[in-house]
Amino acid sequence: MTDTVTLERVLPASATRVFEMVSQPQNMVRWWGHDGMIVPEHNLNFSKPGPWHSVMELPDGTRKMVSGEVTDVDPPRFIAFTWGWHDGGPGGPRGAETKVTIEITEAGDNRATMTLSHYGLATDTARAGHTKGWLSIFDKLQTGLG
Amino acid sequence: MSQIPALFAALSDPYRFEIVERLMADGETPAGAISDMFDISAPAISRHLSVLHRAGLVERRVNGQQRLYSVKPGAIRQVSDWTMNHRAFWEASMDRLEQALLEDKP
Repeated sequence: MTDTVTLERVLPASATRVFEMVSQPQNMVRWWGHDGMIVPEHNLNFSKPGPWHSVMELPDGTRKMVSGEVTDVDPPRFIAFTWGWHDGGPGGPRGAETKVTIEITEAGDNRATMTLSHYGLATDTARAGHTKGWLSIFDKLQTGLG
Repeated sequence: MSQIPALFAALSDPYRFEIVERLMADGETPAGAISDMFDISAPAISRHLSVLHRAGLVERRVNGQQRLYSVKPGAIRQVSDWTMNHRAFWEASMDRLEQALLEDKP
């Protein structure tokens, strides 16, 4: 049983410009991840097929790592890549592989609609489904981490 | 291969879960003191501690006659990474993407 997260956003630029922002290395670091997360190491480049990875450092200093492979690129409308977290951060074994697609379509008036879907997320199902049990466990465990 | 399933399997027993909780609250604790906290036999607690140790959730240190147990923070971090909320990640990224596009407007 897996879950899909889908987000749709109308963005204030043409599809071509949105595609550049989403796919080019120098632009990707401007939006990748949460505010307050820094990306100390990466080879983010969604403009051509090939492997990618990103280390992310949280405000508390914890480092996480995610990696995958860009599988399809069709400028300026489509990008597909795989996504897997490394258990325990950089250097850890890579966990379950999931898949992300990004579709960009012109919305007129110099705007574009971007639809991002993240497939195969067993984790988010766990969150929604057994929330009562496991989530409270995570809360307790995280609190215990101090 | 991910170690997460082994972590969950080890935590799925209520005694083992409580042992981990107690160790996080109290820090390093001798096996005997852990055993005193529960109403099951010392050998049973010892078996639970072995399972937690094999799963990489707790560390064991020998000090004279005592065996001291503590939680391995890295193991708990693996569980918290695994629960990363992807929707929140992408929402935040899209907010920043929109902001970056606005900044570039002439």
